[in-house]
Amino acid sequence: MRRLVSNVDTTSDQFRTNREANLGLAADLKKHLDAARYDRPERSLKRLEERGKLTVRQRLELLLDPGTPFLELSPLAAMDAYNGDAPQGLVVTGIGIINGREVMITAGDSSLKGGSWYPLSVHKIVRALKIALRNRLPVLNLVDSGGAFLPLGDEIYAAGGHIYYSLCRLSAEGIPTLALTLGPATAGGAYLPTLCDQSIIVRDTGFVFLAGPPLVKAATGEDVTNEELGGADMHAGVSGTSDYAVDDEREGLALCREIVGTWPKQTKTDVDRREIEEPFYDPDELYGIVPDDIKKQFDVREVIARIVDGSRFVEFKPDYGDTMVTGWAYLMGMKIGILGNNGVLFSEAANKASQFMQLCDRDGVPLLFLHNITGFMVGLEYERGGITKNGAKMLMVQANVTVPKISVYVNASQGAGNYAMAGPAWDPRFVFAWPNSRSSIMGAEQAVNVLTQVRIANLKREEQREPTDEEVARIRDDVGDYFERTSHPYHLTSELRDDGLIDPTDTRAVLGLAFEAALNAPITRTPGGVLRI
Amino acid sequence: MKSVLIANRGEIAVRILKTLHREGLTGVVVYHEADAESLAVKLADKAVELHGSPPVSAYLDVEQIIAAAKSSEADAVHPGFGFLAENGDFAQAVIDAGLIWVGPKPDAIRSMGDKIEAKRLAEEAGVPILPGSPGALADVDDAVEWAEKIGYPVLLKASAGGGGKGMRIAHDRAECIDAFTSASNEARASFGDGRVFVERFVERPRHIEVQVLADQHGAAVHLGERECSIQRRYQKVVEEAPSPVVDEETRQRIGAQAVSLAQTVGYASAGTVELVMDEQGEAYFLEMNTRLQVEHPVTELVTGIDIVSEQLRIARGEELGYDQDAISITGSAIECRVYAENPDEDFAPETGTLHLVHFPSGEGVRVDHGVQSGQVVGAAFDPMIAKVVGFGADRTEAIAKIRKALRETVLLGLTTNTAYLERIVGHRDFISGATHTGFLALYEDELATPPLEVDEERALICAAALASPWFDERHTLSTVHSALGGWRA
Amino acid sequence: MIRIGENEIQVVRKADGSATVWIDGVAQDAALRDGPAGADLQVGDRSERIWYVVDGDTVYVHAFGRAHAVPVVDPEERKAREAGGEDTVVAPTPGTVVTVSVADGDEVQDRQVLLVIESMKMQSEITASRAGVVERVHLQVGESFEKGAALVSLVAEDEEAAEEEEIA
Repeated sequence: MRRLVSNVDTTSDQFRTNREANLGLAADLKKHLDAARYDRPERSLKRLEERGKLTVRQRLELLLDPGTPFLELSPLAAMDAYNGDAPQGLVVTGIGIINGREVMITAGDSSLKGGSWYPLSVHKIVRALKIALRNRLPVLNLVDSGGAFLPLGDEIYAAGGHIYYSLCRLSAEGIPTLALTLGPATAGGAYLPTLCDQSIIVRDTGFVFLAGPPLVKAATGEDVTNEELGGADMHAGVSGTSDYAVDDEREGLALCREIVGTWPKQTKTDVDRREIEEPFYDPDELYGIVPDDIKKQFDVREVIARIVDGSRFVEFKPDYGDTMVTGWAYLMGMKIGILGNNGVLFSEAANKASQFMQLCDRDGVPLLFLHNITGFMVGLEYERGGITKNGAKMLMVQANVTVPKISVYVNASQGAGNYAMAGPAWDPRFVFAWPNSRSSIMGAEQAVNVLTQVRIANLKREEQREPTDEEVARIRDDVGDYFERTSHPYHLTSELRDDGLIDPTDTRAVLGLAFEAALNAPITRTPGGVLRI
Repeated sequence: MKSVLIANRGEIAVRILKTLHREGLTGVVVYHEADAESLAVKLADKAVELHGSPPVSAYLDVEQIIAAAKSSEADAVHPGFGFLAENGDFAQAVIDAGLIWVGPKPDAIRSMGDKIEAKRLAEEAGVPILPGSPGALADVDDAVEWAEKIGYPVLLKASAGGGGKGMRIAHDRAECIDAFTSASNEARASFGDGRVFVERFVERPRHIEVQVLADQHGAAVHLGERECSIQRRYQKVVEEAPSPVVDEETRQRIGAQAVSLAQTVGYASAGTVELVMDEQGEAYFLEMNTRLQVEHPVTELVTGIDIVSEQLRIARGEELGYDQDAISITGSAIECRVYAENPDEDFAPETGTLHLVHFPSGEGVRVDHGVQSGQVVGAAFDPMIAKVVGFGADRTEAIAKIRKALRETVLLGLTTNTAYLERIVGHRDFISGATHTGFLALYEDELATPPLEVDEERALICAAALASPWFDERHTLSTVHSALGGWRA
Repeated sequence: MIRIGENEIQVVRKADGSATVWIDGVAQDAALRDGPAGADLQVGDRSERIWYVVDGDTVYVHAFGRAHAVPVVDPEERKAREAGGEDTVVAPTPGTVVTVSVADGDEVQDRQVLLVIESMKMQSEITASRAGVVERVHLQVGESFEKGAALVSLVAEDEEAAEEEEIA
């Protein structure tokens, strides 16, 4: 396979400017990640320790095989919500390795607010279980939550039910589930461990019940202790609600490892694999390649060259529809098909993408979408050329491929372009975003122009006057602020519109883990010839 | 002679079978149930089960063995060593049963079995003897009188003794009085014969022995000497041929004396004249062993003569057919006795299953053994598992070979002394030939198992972890996970 | 966590047949590949020809010219084993006594059969939960009992120790 030839001048001013800007973004991302994971008040940590409890990070380290990768999902969930009261949504989700097996882990974090579930906590768990179901990943729940944050109960209620529904579906699909209850699991939360195939409960700190002692007292007048009502020995020895009682967290985590070790070895979907080869071009150069301004153009091939094995890429239809780059490469040894944008989509580019996706789907080659797209081309000529029809074809093909799809926003991902490139609504297995990226219903600048015109028109209609320059400026600012804030990656990731923000240089590792995880589910191909659209 | 019954077990049974098979003879072994899975039984043409409790008694049961020979149609009996090998009555019973006895005549066995008689005959044959009482001591006073005549230190020895039993050293009169009493008590308890004699005690003695072959027609040769000074509690541990301190002249002199003794007693088989050598290089008669020795392989390697084969020929009545000039000593051979014992726990015998057995082979290595993987080593018998021998053009090469062979001797499942043996033959005083029978006691601390190096310990932990079923291979990571290691975003 | 000697051990096996062995949290790259004679052990940059055999919890390794017995143990399991059993053996199900094999004052070994019971037409052996001395056999042949009934009591361990001391 031929190696891509890079045209990047690493000594140019633009490269240096880009690099400085992107390193700044990467540092900021890291700062936010560290804060979300580790910034906890001293007294919270002390309280955990006093009760013989470990932090969620300590639990993960004891649980996972040492020296193995952990793909944490949505680590910045809720960073922009609830006044920052619920970093990470007070739950950690991710794919880790336990006794050699990939396992989707959801782990409650009771270091703040007793691990209460906020609306985004619930959505985060739902997303994790959906990924588990879609990719056939066994699930391990480390249960430690005081229950729903009741002031936001209405936002939690319906979505929360989907957690339990998912556990039932996982079980029916033959995907093993296991829970370790290390804290309270009350009311609806009681089903989180109880609907798992196997359930372990820690003595003294783990409790499972529909209503705790105060509620029971109020309802029936019974005076009971936590232990009597829902403790480890009661559930493991009397009610059968749990299967194992353990003395402490370490013993529980060790038992989890042992049980996971008894699960059948995962069989992976057979895809074309070869020896892993590091990229020829240094991924570190990505910082200098990605523009410091979303409007600046760059060649997505330069990104491909820095994430795929040996920087090798077989480009399909290189002379046709040049704003869409398509072709095959190996990533961490796995053959994938890549669709990357070089800006706006034209009919030829969309048709090329449709043809390429059909080819990959027929051959069982997973797809990677590198979003660098402002949308579909507009205008008389293009509508006459069937741009809407060709876009619809691309959506139709993309929606119905049976191979795993994974999206990464490397720059802009706007308008219908995000849909065409397998954005979050199109059931990709995973969506990741770079900190420089932006995603919104249309480009912020166009949106500002459109909305400003609309408002000015309204003003004219309603007040029969021209707006003053000041009014125009204020309107532009208002609209601009809204778009800048809501298209920002921190906002999007906080709202779980993706599965996590990643440093560009981590892309290769993240995609390796994500594709590897995706291959746990079989690919059921639909027979049919490839149309030369 | 068509079929030979081996009245023995273990490595020597296997050793004898090898020669029998090479010469086209049928090999019959007798065995106790405890040895049913042994290599000797597996390799034998016929195997006859003996009964007895404890198991060792089966191999001492003359009647059962003679009956086994008859039933298996063997026409000769080879006793090996130990058990009944030096039992004149057994030899007689074999002969009386019309079978060929592969060994010296019963009379020769008996006369050499009595140390006082043997010493008298040795003197008669011109073998130097240590100054001492001419016969058994009458009482304590007699002992003290003789001791003072010889000069302290003296050694009091049981006439019927062996293996160090009934032996005491006395440095003065008081010790001599105690030694006489305890030696005779022990001798009476062990051998039913309390007779004790006294002789000069040799300080830092070397154990030298001469291998002789004598036929039934009066011809006899010697096959040079062996040195067996490395002993623990009078049990030989390391043996070699030739001795690093015996020159050709001494070799011929002590050899001729040994031949003379053999002829004096009408000896007709392979036998060994054991000598004690003092620091001045003077060798004195100790005893004569009227059987094949454990350590015979070192002599075979340096002379090229198969001693078992020669025993068979002599037993058949054949003439030796060569004289002393035909015997030459070439190279050097060192034998180590591998025991199932724990050198770090006062050499306590080890029992258990030998899960894995692998012996070295190749040029310069000979291993005589009777074990195979999966075999149980019980407490019923002597804990010797194997004899590992290294030989080469000279002693330096032989030492290199034996050390390598010991390191490559794999016996897993119970503790053995292979590493201890390697430390002995690698010791500076062994390498320089400065050995004596007190060697192992003198260097006890130096020869103890050294602690493992840190990286060796780490390697062992890794090996055990990777071999252990605790860490199942089903848990192997995918290529992607392997490549990423402990990656975190 | 599994222990080898005093060290806590974890093993992560990699796709190429090598592994990372974690010894008290310190990673060590290692590989053990069986060969036609013995096995090749690679630890870091060091390579050794070794022989090994596993017998239960002991791995016997011949390396560096000598044999080593390396115990691989689960401390939890050992703890449970050493903790000993209860003083009183109780009925796991309701049933009747078929045979009684011990009498008051008998010394019994761990897991020695004490009596045979019949329940739901199935006979099962009731064994001692630890070594000790029988204080009392509570039932006779033919007697029936409920689940949880005391069958055989052993002399309490501290009492036993006290008695031994007195004798001494």
